[in-house]
Parts: sequence; C-alpha cells; structure tokens
Amino acid sequence: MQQITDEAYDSYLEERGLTRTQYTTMELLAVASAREVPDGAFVFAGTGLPLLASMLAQHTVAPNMTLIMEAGIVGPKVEHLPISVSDPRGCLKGSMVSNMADTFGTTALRGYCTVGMLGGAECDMYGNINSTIIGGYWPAGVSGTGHGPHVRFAGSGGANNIASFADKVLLVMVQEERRFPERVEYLTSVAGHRGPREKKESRWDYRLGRGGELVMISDICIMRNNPETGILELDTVFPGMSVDEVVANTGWSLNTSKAQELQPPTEEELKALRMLVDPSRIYLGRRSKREAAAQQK
Amino acid sequence: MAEIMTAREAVERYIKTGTQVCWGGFSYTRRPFTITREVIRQRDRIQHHFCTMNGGASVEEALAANDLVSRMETTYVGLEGIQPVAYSIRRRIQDGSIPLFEDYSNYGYAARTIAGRFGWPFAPMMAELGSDIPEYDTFGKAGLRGKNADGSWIDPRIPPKKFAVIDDPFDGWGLRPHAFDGGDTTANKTNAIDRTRESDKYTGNKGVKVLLVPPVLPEVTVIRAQRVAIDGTVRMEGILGPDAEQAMCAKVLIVECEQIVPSDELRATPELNHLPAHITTAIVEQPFGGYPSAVPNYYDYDWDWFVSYGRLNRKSKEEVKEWWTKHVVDTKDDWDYLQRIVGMNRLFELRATPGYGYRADLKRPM
Amino acid sequence: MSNHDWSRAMRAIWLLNTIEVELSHLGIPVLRVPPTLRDLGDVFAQGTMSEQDRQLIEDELTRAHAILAQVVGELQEGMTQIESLLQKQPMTLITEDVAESTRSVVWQKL
Repeated sequence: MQQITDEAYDSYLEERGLTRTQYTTMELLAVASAREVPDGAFVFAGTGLPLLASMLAQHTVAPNMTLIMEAGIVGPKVEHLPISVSDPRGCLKGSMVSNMADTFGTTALRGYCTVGMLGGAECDMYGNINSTIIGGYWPAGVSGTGHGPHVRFAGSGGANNIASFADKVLLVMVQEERRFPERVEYLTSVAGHRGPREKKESRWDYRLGRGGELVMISDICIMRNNPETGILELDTVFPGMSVDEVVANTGWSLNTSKAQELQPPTEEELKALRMLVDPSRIYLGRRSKREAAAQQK
Repeated sequence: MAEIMTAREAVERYIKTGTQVCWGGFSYTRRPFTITREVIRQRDRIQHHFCTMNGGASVEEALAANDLVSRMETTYVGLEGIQPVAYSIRRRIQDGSIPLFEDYSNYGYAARTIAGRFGWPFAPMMAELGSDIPEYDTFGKAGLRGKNADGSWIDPRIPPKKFAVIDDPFDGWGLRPHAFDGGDTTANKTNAIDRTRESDKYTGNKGVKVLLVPPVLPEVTVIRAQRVAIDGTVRMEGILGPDAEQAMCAKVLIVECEQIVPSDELRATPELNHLPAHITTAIVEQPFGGYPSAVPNYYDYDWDWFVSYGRLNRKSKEEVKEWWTKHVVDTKDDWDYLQRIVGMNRLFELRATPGYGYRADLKRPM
Repeated sequence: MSNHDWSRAMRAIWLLNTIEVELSHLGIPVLRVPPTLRDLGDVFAQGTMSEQDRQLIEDELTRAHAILAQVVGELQEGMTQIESLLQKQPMTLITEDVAESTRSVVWQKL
C-alpha cells in the first residue's frame, strides 16, 4: 500500500470528526464487499459502493485484480473516484479501451468476468434482482390503465449481463422488508438460482452456463445463497443489529442457523478506504437512511 | 460527401417529428449536446421523436423534460452517482406521457449494434435468457412489429421480432471456459454448460440455447467526436462507448466536433480512426458543445450543473420546461448559449489536465 | 467577443491542445531515450560489433537525429509565433491548415 503518514491521516480524521477505529455504514459496506473479492479476479463494478469496494480490494486483499469499467475500459489505474461507469476518471491508464459489445462479449462472455458487483431496487429469496419497475411493467401505450408502472427504475444497464456471466455476484443493497420480497415483480437480473431446482427453475434450466454463487451485502447483514437450495441465508450480522431485526427486514422466512458475528473493519482497511479510495468522501460521506434516522432521534 | 453545416441546418434537414434518432456518447462523456440543444430550440416544430441509444441518460433527460420523447428503446435511464433514475424520464413513463418503452440490457443492445455494424441479419448473445427482458415486448404488444395485409412493414424501423432463440448448431462447443480438452486459461472457472443441455426451455428441445437479436438501424445517429477531418473521417479519444457501432448502423450520421481538421492530420494514422469518411453525412463544428458532459482531453463534465439540475428536475413539469426555455430555447445558437448562459470562464475552468484527460482537481461537492 | 471571433480563437486553442495531448503521450517513449541510448553505448563500447552492423545502427541514429532536429525546429517556430502573439506583434502563417473560407461555410451562409 502507498505510504500514508500518520500526520496526514490524523489531520484527515480530525477535520472530519472520525477516529481510526469507528466507522460509518458506508465504510462498513465497502469493507465487507471488498473482502469478498478473490485476488486475481476480474471485477465488473458499477459506480457507487461497488466501485469503492473494488478499489479498496485492489489496495488490500486483491492487489492483482483487474477492474473492468462498463464503458469498455480494461484495468484502469484509478486516481480520482469516478461517479459514472463512463466518467473519464475510470479510463486512466487502462490496458485497453473498447466498445460496449467488447465489455460484455470480448471480456465477460469470453471468460474474464470473475466477480460482478451490482445494486438493485428489489432482491428476492433466490437472489433475483429487480432494477426495472414496481407496480406493473407495461408502459401506458399498451397497459390499458392509462398510465405506466407505479415506479420506474433505471433498468438493467449491464446488470443482467454481469449476473449472467460472472462466477460470483455481490449484491449491495439497502435492506428493508418491502425491498426483499419472496418473489421480485420483474426479473431484471438472475444473480442466483432463479427458483426451486425441483421445479426446473435453476439458472441452468434457463441456459445460464456460469455462476450461481451469490453474496448479498446490505447495511445490516450479509447473506449467502445455499449451494443446494439456492435460497439466501443469513451469514453475518453487522454490529449494532440483532438477528431479529434482520429477520424483520426480510420478506421471506430467513434461515439464521449459520449466522456469525462480523469481523469489524481493521484500521488498515479504513485508512486505505479513506485516504486512497474516496478521500473527498463523495460516497463515504453519504449516510444510509438508518443512520440518518438514528441521528435524528 | 460529408457536408459542413450549422446545428440548425442539420436538425432542420434530418430530424422531423417522430424520427428515430440514436444518441451517441455514454452518460457523462462525449454526449452530443449541441444537436440536443438545437432539437430543444426547435421543439415546437419537432414535437416528439423516437429515442434510442445504449448510453443514457443526460441527453435523454433534457429531451424528455421538453416533452420531445414519444418512444424509447434503451437499456438504462439513470444519471448514476448524481441521480439514480433520470427524473424527467421516470415521471413520464409512470404517468404515461412517454407511452412506449422497450427495455434491453447493455449487451443485448450492443449486440444489436454489432449486427448493424457488420451488416448481419442478427447477432447471437448469451445473456437476457432467464430474465424478464425477453418476456415483455412493448412494441409487439403495441402492434408495431411485422407487416400489414398489403405486405408493407407496419413500422419499417422496428424489426418483426424483439428476439429469437435457437438451438446452438454447434452444441455449445465454442462456449468458455472451454472444458472439453482438459481446461481453459480464462479467469472464469464455473462451467455448467452440460447442465444447461438438460433443459428444453425456450425452444422445446434439449441442448444449448442461443438468443438472437436483430440489428438496430436508426434513421439518424448523432455523435460528438473530438476531431473530424474535412472529408468526414472521425477519430474519438478516450472512452469510445457504443459510438462507432451506433454510427455505422445509421442511415444518416451527424457528427458534432471540437475541431474540423485537415484530412492529412487523421489519415496519417488510419489505424487510430474510428469511422471512415464515407459514412458521415453532416459535420457540425462547435467547440465546448459537449457541455455539460465531458470531452476527454479537452474538458471535464460540469459537476455543479448536474447536481443543481438533479434538484431542479424534481419541480413541476412546467417549471422544468420553463427553465429549458429560458436557458436554451431563448438562445440563438450554441455560441450564444455557451457565452451568455454558461460563460467562457466556466468552460475554461473545466479544461482537462495534461496527462489525465479530465480536470484532475475538479471540486465535486454534493 | 463575436461568435465568429471565438470560433477563430478556439481553432488556435484546440490545435495547441492537440499538440499538448500528443506530446504528453510522446513524453513517455522520449523519457526512455537517454537510458536506452546509454545501454546502446555500452554495446558499442564492448567492441564486439562488426563494422557493417555498427554502420546499420549509426544510420538509424543519424536518421532519428535529423527527425528530432526537424521537430525541435518546428516546435521552436510555434513557440516564436506564440511569443510574438503575446507581445502583440503581427504573425505570419506558416502551415497549410484547412482554409478559413472552406471551413467557415457556416458564416457565409448566415
């Protein structure tokens, strides 16, 4: 890791009212996600937390990983945090720039998409992600209701493709019961196994020939999908959260038998995150809804 | 022969009511804002258009805010770090004032542009299966696909099917990681292709399925490049995005640029060029015209503009449209807009730092 | 300033920007020249090179030297032009650019 002087770090902490050991929810999420990246991985990360986590992984657990930016850049050496997959900051000192078809074809489908980091609006018990609509898909021209969906989200972007081609998917989400239903209303991206295997609903039944491993990291816990059933189960509870709280914020009957405690972020992880990845705290400075609500009390 | 013209002329000539226009660039980078602003200036004449592209959504947000979008065919309508869903587009899909919207994934749409670029009847792609993306065909439901009784296309710009699924005639031999000969050198290690063969979903047969997509063939594509030669040769710098493919698919190509340069300057190294002279229809020179998006090696995006616009576009539709009237429609042309509304000082503050391609010390407060 | 004048000013500014960008790329191999040539000097000093091989290499170096001298000269011309502009002295056109009259059809049409 680059050398950061104690003076520089102390002054940073003082200016922002932080300490070496205490962390915000955003910082916790970034650290928990970074730890999931194997060294040497080819990581497709969207902007925001996924990118923070990837960059942190590169400084800590996965120095030999390659970052792929969806706009077509392979292996950039990022110095300033990009706020979009197409931000020129994500192009700095890349090994190659290519078109959109190359990102998903030449790189991902061809076999260089080890880890995909995604977000979403809804995630169900099998890890299906919805980033398209809530309350009816059809637009007004064909819905017969005179209006379109109740809520329209951004759509797939590259999420569907990353979920189709990655060996392992990391899903980073804010956890609320209404966003964690038993079944998503619209299936944008198949990140896990789609449905019960005995009903021929696995990803393989739908012709997805890779992947299946899914880790869901929310602001209160980590879930992993059971290799046999494909259902997301509680793996780790975050500090300050109880198992009951996690269960209450999950829309299906959550298996908690394997739950363990989180290894808190280390000083080194926090230092790298704060000083190297997002020193201006463009994303780290954001508070989760829970944090904001707690602070108001 | 590529023709040099003003933005006004290019829009008057090539963009009519309902024209299918494919917008180049990607999100915050190299978006064709000169032509976009001119379309907004001519909004009363144009009224609405068929908007398609792979790299939204700053331009599309501006067009939607001016009620200029009647149909959209795309993959993503967000502004990422600054506004997760572009609000003007979102509210209009919800309330129905954008009545038709066709969803794709980035790879699905990109595969369509590859088919268009190579002149193929379709392109194979291996994603979107298993999801709901192929399950909803908006244009099909609207009766826009296929032919009339007299044999003419209902809408010749829309392919007869959204997609097709076939059984791979090569039985999955080509798929990676290639496990048949003892292993592969790819980074991906999971290989469940054999397990997928047991399923008969999509075609009714067991075996490996492949999704096919038809090309996208826009009536007009608009891109912004750093340099265009006077003969129409185009070279982009930095992130390329879907531009070359979207340009090659189109019937008419409008290229706005920072500089029109002598042919020799770009023809000295043809391997660095992205579009040949013969496909460019119109060239519009407008320095700084990509504003507020970034043009690598020239200027950065205007972070402050995006943040304040992200707050503004949540006001009433009328207020937002009035804002566009005051800031764009009431300007004569892009020089007027850049000088009077933006100010040359602000533009030069965004100048790219040597060695970076963007403004390395750009302040980005939320 | 009028749009037309800003257009002409941006021609110069963007052209110089192009040079700056290309030179920043060129800078990387240029920085490698001294150490690479020192290493070549070591090979010469070994004294095991044939006369013919030495001649081939010296021809390449002569050619490269001539090209670098030409580029230095052209860059110097550019600098002189900039200096005279900053001192507000009249400029002489030395390069064959796309003629204003050809490129500025837009102004003619207005």
